[in-house]
Amino acid sequence: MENGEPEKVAPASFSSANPAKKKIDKLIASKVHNDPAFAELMDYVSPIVSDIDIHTERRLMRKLEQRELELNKEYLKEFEKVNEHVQKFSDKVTAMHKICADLTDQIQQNKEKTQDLLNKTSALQNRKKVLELKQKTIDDFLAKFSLTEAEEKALDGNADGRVSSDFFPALDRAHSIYEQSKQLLRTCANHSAAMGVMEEMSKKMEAAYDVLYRSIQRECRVLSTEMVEVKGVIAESFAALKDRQILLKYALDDYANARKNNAMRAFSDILTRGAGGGKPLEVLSHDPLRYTGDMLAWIYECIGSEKDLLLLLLSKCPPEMIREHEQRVLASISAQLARTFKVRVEQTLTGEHESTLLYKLVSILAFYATKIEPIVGADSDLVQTIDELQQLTLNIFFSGLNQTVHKILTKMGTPDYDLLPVQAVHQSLMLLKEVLDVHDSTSSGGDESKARFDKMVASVLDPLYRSIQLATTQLHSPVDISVYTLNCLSSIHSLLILYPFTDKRIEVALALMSGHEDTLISEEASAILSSTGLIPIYQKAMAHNQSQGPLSSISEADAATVKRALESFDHFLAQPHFGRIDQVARISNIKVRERVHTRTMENVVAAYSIIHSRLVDPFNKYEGLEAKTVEQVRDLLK
Amino acid sequence: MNREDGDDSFDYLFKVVLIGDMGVGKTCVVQRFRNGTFVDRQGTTIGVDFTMKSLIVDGKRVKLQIWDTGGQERFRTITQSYYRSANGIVLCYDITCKQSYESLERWIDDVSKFAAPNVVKVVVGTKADLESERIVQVEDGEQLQRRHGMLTFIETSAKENTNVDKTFYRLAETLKRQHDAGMSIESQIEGIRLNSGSTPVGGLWQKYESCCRY
Ligand SMILES: Nc1nc2c(ncn2[C@@H]2O[C@H](COP(=O)(O)OP(=O)(O)OP(=O)(O)O)[C@@H](O)[C@H]2O)c(=O)[nH]1
Ligand SMILES: [Mg+2]
Repeated sequence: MENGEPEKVAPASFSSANPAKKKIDKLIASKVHNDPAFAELMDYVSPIVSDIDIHTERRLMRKLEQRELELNKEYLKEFEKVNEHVQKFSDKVTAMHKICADLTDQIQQNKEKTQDLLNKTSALQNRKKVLELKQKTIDDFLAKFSLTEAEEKALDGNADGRVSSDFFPALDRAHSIYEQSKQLLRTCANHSAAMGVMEEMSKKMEAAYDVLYRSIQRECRVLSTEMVEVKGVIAESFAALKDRQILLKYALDDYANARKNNAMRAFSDILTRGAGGGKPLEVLSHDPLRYTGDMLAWIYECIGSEKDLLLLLLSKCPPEMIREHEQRVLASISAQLARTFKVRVEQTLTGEHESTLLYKLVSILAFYATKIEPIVGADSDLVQTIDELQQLTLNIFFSGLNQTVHKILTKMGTPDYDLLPVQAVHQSLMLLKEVLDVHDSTSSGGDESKARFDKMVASVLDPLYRSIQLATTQLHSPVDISVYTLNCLSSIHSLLILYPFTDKRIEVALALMSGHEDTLISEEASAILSSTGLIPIYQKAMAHNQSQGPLSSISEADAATVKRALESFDHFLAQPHFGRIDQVARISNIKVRERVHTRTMENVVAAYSIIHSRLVDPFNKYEGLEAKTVEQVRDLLK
Repeated sequence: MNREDGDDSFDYLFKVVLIGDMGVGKTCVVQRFRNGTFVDRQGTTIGVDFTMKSLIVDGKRVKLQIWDTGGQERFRTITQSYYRSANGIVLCYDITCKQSYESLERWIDDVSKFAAPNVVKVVVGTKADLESERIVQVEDGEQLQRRHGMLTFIETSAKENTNVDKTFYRLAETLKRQHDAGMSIESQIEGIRLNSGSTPVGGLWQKYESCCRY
């Protein structure tokens, strides 16, 4: 800077007592010619110094001062200008600053405003997101909780009033929507949408079920006329009604009605016109067994195929549903058949009295009842009807049997001289055998069958026993009574042993027989002993005791009487027929006859042994009496 | 003939015969014992009816074969056949009917003629529920029992089920014990009664009157 240069020099010249000297010393000491600053200084001063004298320095000094002043004045003047500029500039800067501050202010304000906007924007954006989410949820919800157009259409059914296979998935969906909204309601009780959906669905389902029910009605009507293959739709239709039990019941009732009429028509046809070129069943009506049997066979077959058809219809239903309705429907289909069948059977029964035929009829009815029952159920009209007819036939059978027995027995006469069972006994037993044989050949072996068997036996045997006993009251000797009774009992016994379940009856017969055998044994033994005169001796011997003295001293037991009796007994031993009761020979059963004989002789021997023991007892004083030993007598009587 | 069921197995088998005038209530007693029922109108018994029932005595099964005889005079001969093999005899009279009590003497006669000597006899006064119509006193029954050496005397009512089971039970118990003691008629050689050969036949008591109720 050129303006600074003199400033440096001037203060140096005023600062010391001898600044010039010092300066000169310094100049001398320093190699001034090498110093550019000094050279410059010299250049500056030299024009000013013209003469060198004593005053030179002072003049120089003055001149320099003057110059410095001038320069300073000039500097000041210049500085004034600068100052003025600076002043101006400062003013401008201040103004500018003011503007800037204003701007900053404004910017700040703007900035704040923007922040607010931003906040609002982001809030709005958030809300938008939430709304979008809701929108999606609602869309989802609607998609999930309403039916598609196609589904709605399917639920309306076809123009012909039937439903097609897409009906069922649609119904299922309506159902599941309903269930889901129900679920929703359960988790949040005030879910109005769910409530709405439920209401909607339930309306739709109601309508759909209605359509379905009508469709089934139509299908069934067609089925009943052709009875052909079952379309899948109808099986599905029934299965779809699983949640509408009442509708299902109605639908099945309609079905049963249609089938019932169909079966009835077929049954009348077979009865009056015959089928497949065959004769009508009616022509058999004079033959109750075949007529009834053929009708039952037809009915059995008919309900069999009805069952197959029904199971096809219900094939898509759950098993418990099938179980619940199957028998009821089949029972209802067959109910009408039962009525017709009953009338027909009752007609053939009138005037029928033949026991075996009636019983065979009972068996046929029982046979079919057990076959049919599992199909239509025990409570069904059909089974009830068959049971009733069975009971009716059985009643006719038993009353017929009782009547026949009664008729036979009232004709029973007094036993003949031969003491063999009279004709009536044989007739009743033959009748019994006949019915028991039929029973045996048809018996199912159950308790009922056994009870019936017992009843048959009782129907014949109880009155027979009474008649036999009444008849024997006409006889005059107990021996005749016993022989006759024994002979009758033998016949009864030999019939009873042919059949099972007769143990008790056999026991009774045998017990009765043994009573009469005892009578005969006792009578005959008594007869033998009395004909030989041993009876009084036996009685005396039994009643005797030693305090009475020897037995031979008692009248009618004296040695002579005893001797006579023993001779007479010997005579009997030689001719064992002597003194015997002839009726015993009329015991028809050889085994019984022999048993009676053997036991009679045992009794005779027993009685003889008592007498003998007294005769050989020395106390009784029968000296010299010849009496056979008990062993001898026993041998002789063998 | 009534067929009765029941278990066939038994340890003892005894035959018991009920006798007494027509209408004294023998059948009712048997029915009460067998079935536990009382049927008012049984219908008179023709000949003999047969019933079985088992009892437990001293832990053993005792089967009773019960012969319910018809009290009508005309069956007297037929029913006698069954006395011979009887182990026990129940003689019945109706406590409201003097005649039925008095008849017992003749029934007892029959028993001694045809039944085994050691047959166990019980005398039963029936219809004990008809106390107001009683004619035969308890002492009369007891006296009869003692006079004929019978096991016991009991008054029963089949209608009100008094003493019926007890009667049969006592009889069964006695028969079983007698059998156990080896005194049964089967063990005796003279199981069969020998008689003079002139067995009374029907008609002997032809003028015999039936019970006053009939
Ligand atoms: N009050 C009453 N009546 C009885 C009783 N037992 C029997 N009867 C009646 O007496 C009548 C005859 O009874 P039955 O048991 O038939 O007489 P029964 O001795 O078997 O007669 P028969 O077979 O003819 O010998 C019937 O009408 C019975 O109702 C009883 O304990 N009390
Ligand atoms: Mg009786």
